[in-house]
Amino acid sequence: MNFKLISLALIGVTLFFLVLLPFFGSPYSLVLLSNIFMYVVLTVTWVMFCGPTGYISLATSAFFGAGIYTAAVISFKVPLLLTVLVGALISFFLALIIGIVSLRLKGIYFAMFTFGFVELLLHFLLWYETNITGTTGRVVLTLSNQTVYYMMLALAFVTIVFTQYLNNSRYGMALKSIGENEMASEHIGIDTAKLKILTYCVSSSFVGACGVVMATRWTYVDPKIAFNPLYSFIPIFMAILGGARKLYGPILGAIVFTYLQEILTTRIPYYYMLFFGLLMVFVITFLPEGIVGIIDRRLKTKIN
Amino acid sequence: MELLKVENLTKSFGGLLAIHKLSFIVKEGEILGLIGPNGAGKTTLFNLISGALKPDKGRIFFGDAKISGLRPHKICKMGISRTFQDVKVFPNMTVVENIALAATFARERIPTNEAQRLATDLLRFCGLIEVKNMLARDLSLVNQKRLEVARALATQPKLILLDEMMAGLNPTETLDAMRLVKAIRDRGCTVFIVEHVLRAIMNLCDRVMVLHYGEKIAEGTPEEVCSNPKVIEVYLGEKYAQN
Ligand SMILES: Nc1ncnc2c1ncn2[C@@H]1O[C@H](COP(=O)(O)OP(=O)(O)O)[C@@H](O)[C@H]1O
Ligand SMILES: [Mg+2]
Repeated sequence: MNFKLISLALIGVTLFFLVLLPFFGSPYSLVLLSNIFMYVVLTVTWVMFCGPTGYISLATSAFFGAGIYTAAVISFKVPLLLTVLVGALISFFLALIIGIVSLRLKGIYFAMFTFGFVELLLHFLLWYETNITGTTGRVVLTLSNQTVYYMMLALAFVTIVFTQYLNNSRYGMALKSIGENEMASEHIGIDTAKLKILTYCVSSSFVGACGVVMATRWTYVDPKIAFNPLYSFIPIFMAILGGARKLYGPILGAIVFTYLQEILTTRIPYYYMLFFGLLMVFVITFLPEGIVGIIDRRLKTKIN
Repeated sequence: MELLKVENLTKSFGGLLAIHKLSFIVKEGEILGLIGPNGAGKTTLFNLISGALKPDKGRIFFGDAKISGLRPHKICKMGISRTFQDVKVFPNMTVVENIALAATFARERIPTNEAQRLATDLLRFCGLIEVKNMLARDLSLVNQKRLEVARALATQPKLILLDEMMAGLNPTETLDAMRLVKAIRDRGCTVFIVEHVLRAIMNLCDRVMVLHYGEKIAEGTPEEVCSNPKVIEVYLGEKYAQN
C-alpha cells in the first residue's frame, strides 16, 4: 500500500470538491465550512509554534482581533487583499513585540504574559476609541458568502501547506528540540531566540489575515467583540481534541469541534458550554493524544 | 599554540563567588583536565566558556576572537562544543535525529547528505550504531552520555568541553569512555575535560588544572599536580596526605 500516494490523492479530491462546492452547495454549507476553515487556521497556527516548543500562547485572540480591527478601520478604503495583508503585518508586529519582551519567560509565565497582552490591547483600544476617536463601534465591509468561503479556503490551505513544509524542514526539528531541551538546543548552534520569535510572528500573521476575512461576517464590531478571549482558548481545546502530535490532528480537531459547536448551539443553546467542558475533561483524561492517538493505535494494530 | 585564553574571569551568584579571577590557557591539540571538589566552579566555568552564563568580569578568547558575552549558538558555530553533566539529550528524538540536528545547524548550509554521512560516522565512532533508531529517552545512561558526545562532535568543534562524562559508569564503560576521549583528540579536536574519576584524568591528560572555591590552586602535568601539597590537602583529602 502506498500510503503517501493515497493521502495525496485524497487531499486532491477533497480540494477539488471544496473548490467546486459553491456551485452546488447550500449557502449554509458555505458558512459552516468558512467557520471550519477559520478554526483550522487558528488551531494549526497555534500548534505550529506551541506544539513543538511547549510554549503556551494565549494571545491568539490578540492577533485575531488585530485582524478584525484592521478590517474595521480600513476595509472601506483599500482593496480587500491589501486589508488582509495589513492585518497579517500588524499581527506579525504584535507577535514580534510579545516575542521580544517575553523572550526569557518560560512555562506559565509566558502563558500569563500573552494573556495579559490581550487584555492590555483590548483596554487600550477601548480607552482610545472612547476618549480619542469617540466611537463606540465600527461598521465592517460585508462580503458575499462565496468570497469569504474562497478566501478562508485559500488561507487554510496556505496555512496547512506552510506548516507541513516547516515541520519537515530542519527548522521543524529545531523547534521540537527547543521543547525538548532549550539549553541543549542553543548549544548545538540553534539561534533559539530568533527561531522562536520568527515562528511565532509568522504563525500569528496567518491569524491576523484570518481575522480580516472573518470580520466581514460581523458587519459591526467593537473592541470587546474583536478581542474576545475565547479565541485564545478554543484553538487550544481543538488542538487537544485532535491531538497536536501530527498535523492532521489539529485539522481534525477543528472540524469535529466546529461541527459539534454548530449542532449544539442550535439544539441546546444554554448547555453547550457545559457539554464542551465535559468533553474536554473526558479527552484529557482518557485520550491524552486526542483523535490522532486513536487513529495511530488503530493503524498500528492493523499493521501488526 | 593557544586555542583558548581565559583572562581574569570572575562570576558570582548573589554573594557566592563561583569563579574568582581565573586565568589560564588551553593549548591546541592537548587534553586538559579540570578537577576540584564539588562546588568548586567547574561546571560554572564550562557555562561561561560556552556562553550559557555571562561573566561578571574578565575575558575569554578563542583563537583571536573574543567570545565572552556571545550567545551559546554563536560560540558553538565558532567551534566550541560541550556536553552536560546532567545529561541533556533530546528525549523524544531518535539517536540519529539528535546527532543530525546538531550537524545541520552548527555549520551554515551543510547539505543534508553530508550531515547524514557525518551522523553515521559519529554513530560508529561513539558506539551507537545498534541503537541509532531508538528514542534517546530509552537509552541506558552510558549510551545517553555517548550520545551527548556524538551530538557535540556533530557540530565539528575545534574544542570540546566534557563535563563528568564518566560519572555513573562502571569500570568497563569508563575504560571505553577513556578510549573515546583519546580518539576525539586524535581526530584533531582539543579536549577540556572535567572528571571525578582521577585514574582517568591521570591517564588521559597532558595537563591538569585544579579548582578550589573558584580559584586555581594548581596547574601542571598529572604528576606535578598529584604531588602538590596544596592539592593533596584540599582535594585528595588528608587521608592521602598521610600516606
Ligand atoms: N545558576 C546558579 N545559580 C546560583 N548558584 C549557582 C548556579 N550554578 C552554580 N552555582 C553555585 O556555584 C558553585 C559552583 O558550582 P558548580 O560550577 O556547579 O560546581 P562544580 O561543577 O565544580 O561541582 C556552587 O556553590 C553552586 O551551588
Ligand atoms: Mg559540575
